[in-house]
Amino acid sequence: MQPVEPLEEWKTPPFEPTIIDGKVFARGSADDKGQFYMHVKAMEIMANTNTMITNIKFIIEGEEEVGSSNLGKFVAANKELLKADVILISDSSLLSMDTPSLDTGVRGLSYIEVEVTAANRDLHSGIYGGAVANPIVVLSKMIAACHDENNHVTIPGFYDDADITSEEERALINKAPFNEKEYKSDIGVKELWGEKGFTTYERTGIRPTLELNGIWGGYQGEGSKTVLPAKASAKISARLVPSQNSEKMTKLLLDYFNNAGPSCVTVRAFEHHGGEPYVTPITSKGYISASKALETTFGKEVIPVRSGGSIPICNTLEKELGIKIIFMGFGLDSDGLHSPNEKYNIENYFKGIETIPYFHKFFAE
Amino acid sequence: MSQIWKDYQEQHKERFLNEMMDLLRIPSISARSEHKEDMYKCAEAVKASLLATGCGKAEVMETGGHPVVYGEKLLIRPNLQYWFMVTTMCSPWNHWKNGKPLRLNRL
Repeated sequence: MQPVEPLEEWKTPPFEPTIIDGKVFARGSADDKGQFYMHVKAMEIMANTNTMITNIKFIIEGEEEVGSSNLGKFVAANKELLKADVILISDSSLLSMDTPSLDTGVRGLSYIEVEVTAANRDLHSGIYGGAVANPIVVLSKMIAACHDENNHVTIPGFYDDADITSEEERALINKAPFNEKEYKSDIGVKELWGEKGFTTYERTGIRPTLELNGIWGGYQGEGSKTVLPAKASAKISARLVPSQNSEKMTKLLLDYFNNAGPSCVTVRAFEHHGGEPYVTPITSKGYISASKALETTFGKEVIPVRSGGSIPICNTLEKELGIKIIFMGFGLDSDGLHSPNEKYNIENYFKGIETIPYFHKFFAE
Repeated sequence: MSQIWKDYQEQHKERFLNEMMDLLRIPSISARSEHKEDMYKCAEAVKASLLATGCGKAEVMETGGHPVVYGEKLLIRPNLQYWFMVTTMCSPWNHWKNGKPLRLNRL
């Protein structure tokens, strides 16, 4: 699971699950303990009603949020044990309870940290201010230069390997209902932001993006302290789409930032975890079975969507095991994943448990 | 088939929810080294849940990093369908008493 900070913004303690208004509030409720556990309970239902018709293997990992680097090695070393016909992952969202959907892909990820250093120690801002470069200013400028006025990423080569999505697929993506007002009010933003020329679903589904995850430097304690900091740092990530490659993008970002600082500072950029993008075909038996299962329990047409998130192990799983992955998630984008007050609606939890047995049934047919 | 599933879920709804909430009580935060023990605690809890739910086999396996839990329930049928699921690690199990999961008694 993700860390819980900022802790003070949680209305209920993150590890004391609390039910409010039909929702379970806790870290990991929707991402992903609540979702993974639906499969365990779906299996219980099938087993205890003598209706189990498929074999089930579970792999529950603990490094999804930090890149799954060890799971890749584990899978490679245990191919026989993990032999299967299809892989089912429940770590994604429905468009809404009225619009059931299946994710058809996840974005990849590159993640780096950039540290800018000027002096060998924090300095008195009165004695040295104005005479020595301030790493916070330098880093802020480097970061601000990464997007142009149309919110395109300016880093040379950033879009090079990104597949251009066909007009047909873009039309399909934009078929999904999008309530801009609700979207904005749910997260409390005044207006939407993003790469010019693309809709919100396109921005998070088919386009690579660059995000600042954290930035720090200097004095951040109570009151004021007049200091010219020695260092400033930022955590920077990129979400990738097919056919971009995480390793290549990480190198591109490291090279860029290592050379983006003026000569008055020292820049040190280093990598964290990454993951490759993945897309699953909507014509596979697994996808069709999942779609039929959702259609059965929701009574509505199921819409394929490209997820904005990343599940770093997908690419490795298909490569090592040679099987397709189906993303059948029951969360909602408004569940507050990675944020304070993460929740999972009880209704969604039970709907998932209700739907999963149908997937097994249809796949075995 | 659907009615049998529905009835079973209806009967066990409360337990299904409580079990999931029990899992949320272990702070298994993968990025933080101080929660390394919680990752193992969580893995053991997941293993117990799989065994209690009917998996013939469930193991906590080392990966070099945080452990994974492998579990399987295989039918003895000639025309085997295999599945497997990958999700993120879950949390603790508050059902332990005298070294035994209470859930076993409830099933």
